[in-house]
Amino acid sequence: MFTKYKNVLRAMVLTVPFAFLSYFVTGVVYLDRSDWKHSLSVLLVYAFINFLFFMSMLTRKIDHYRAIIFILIALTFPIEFVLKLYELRGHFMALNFSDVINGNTPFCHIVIPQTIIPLIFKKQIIFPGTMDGLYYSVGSMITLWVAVSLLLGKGWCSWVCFYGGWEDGCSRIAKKARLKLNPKLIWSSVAVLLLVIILTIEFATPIYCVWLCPFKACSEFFEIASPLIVFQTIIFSAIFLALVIILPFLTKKRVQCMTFCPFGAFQSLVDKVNPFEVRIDQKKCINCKKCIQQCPVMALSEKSIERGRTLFNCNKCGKCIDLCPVNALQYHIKLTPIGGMGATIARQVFLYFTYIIVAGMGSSFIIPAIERILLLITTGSILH
Amino acid sequence: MEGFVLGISGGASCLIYCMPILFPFLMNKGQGVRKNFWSLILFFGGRLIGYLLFGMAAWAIGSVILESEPQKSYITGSTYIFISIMLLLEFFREKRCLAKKVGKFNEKLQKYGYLFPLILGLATGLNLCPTFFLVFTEAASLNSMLESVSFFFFFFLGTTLYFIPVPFIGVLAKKEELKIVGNFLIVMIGVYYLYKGFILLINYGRF
Repeated sequence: MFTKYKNVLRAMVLTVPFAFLSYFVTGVVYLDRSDWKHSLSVLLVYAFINFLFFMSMLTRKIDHYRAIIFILIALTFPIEFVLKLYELRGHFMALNFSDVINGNTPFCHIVIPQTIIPLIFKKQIIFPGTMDGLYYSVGSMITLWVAVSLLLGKGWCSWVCFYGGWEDGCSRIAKKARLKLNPKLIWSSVAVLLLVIILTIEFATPIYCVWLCPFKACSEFFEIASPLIVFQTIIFSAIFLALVIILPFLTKKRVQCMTFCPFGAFQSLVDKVNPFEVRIDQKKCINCKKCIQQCPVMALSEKSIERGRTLFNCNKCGKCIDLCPVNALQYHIKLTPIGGMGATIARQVFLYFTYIIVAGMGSSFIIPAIERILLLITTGSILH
Repeated sequence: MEGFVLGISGGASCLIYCMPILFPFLMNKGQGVRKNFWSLILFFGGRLIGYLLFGMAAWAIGSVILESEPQKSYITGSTYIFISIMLLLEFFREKRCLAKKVGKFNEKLQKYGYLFPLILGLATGLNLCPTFFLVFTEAASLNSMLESVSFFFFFFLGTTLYFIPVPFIGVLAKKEELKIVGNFLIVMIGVYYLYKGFILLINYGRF
């Protein structure tokens, strides 16, 4: 009984700093009481994120609570994004030629490697977006990417990516995997990255966005104006269905993220500069292989466990840490000793950083989406 | 000498156009620096043959061939399809197949494997990239076949300098992962060139 209260008290104490920081990040501090819809949305999101953080502290589980907010962000992102586009451009998801010419194309993080490499080689920004001002400008997205990459590195892919929740959600529906994937497939995302870089340098156009990006299905795509665009639409829809919906359901893995996303492969390189990683304490490991079987991106192998490290594509979701029966897997701050108090501090600092960023992302997508739903209920219109 | 200067000034562009073919090819093989240099020399041999053939063509028929859009597309489209087939064959060449007929075919491919870089070089030599148009037009205005061919030869020498660092990718040859990435990449690039070749043929062809 005493232990139970002690745990609750511990979780509450650990949640206080987060509640204070998220008070600013979610915008509670700027509440305008005259706009009740906005105020209610902000307070709901603030309370919900703090509840998830508290539960994560109480149960000492990471992945379960991370997944709830991650999936929620992915589901609310299209609502806010598509409607905002309508308010800005006057039409929904179909991107037309004049939008491209005028630079009215929102910039997302997946385009970053395609933008940086030609910028280095050809001194050109090949994406038809604006540097600042318009919704999702090149400047703001690159700033967000630099900041998050320095703090979380590849952690972006399981905490920040506003598309990832789709396949994360689909990979959790089935109870058992019905299909096994070859572990070599994790390297195909690197091949896609190289393909995209080589072709982007050659043709100076964002090849991945035009041809391959499956998430056009939940953001925007070219208006169907020629047989070529019909072909492109078939390709990205098929990739979305196969890699984001069907295969994650059958394999219980994040297939698109693991085998296809060039940004994910690029982020694995960027991961070298951030302070956090997942390490395996070999003194504790009992070689049960639960972590290898359950990792959603196949970032663990017997060899990697022997080395005490995860593979290059680990996105720090925390599932293996939750699953390990002997706590051999832990978040770790680079250049510090493994295990002991260091592991507890690393875990806590990592979770503060990630939840603060998630609170920021949540306030960008979930709050406006709730606001629009309230608007629809009260006025009958979903547009501002 | 003018060809050499043109080669040096436009060589970076040539590298950009040849890299999508050469880079996955070398990565897929996963061999060391020395063997990569041999592959590159063979690739250059093929490329030189392609250039010399164009040098002769430039003298014989002038730049007429480049003025017709369908003809340009036929040449580039067919070359792309050929390159794509070669890249895909290179991938399958190293795979073992239990089916007898495929196995025998693979054995034959293994036997003539050394010719692959030479043939790929020839195909890229026949590829009409932007720098190439400039050289062809210049060579077409020369008086004799010897002048035209030597113009192409010196252009080839100038561009070659940019390719010297490429075989050093073999420094990473011991990394098995690099070969796996090369396997995926060669198939992706192969499929891409196949698509690109067909699009060029369909857009300007008669079917």
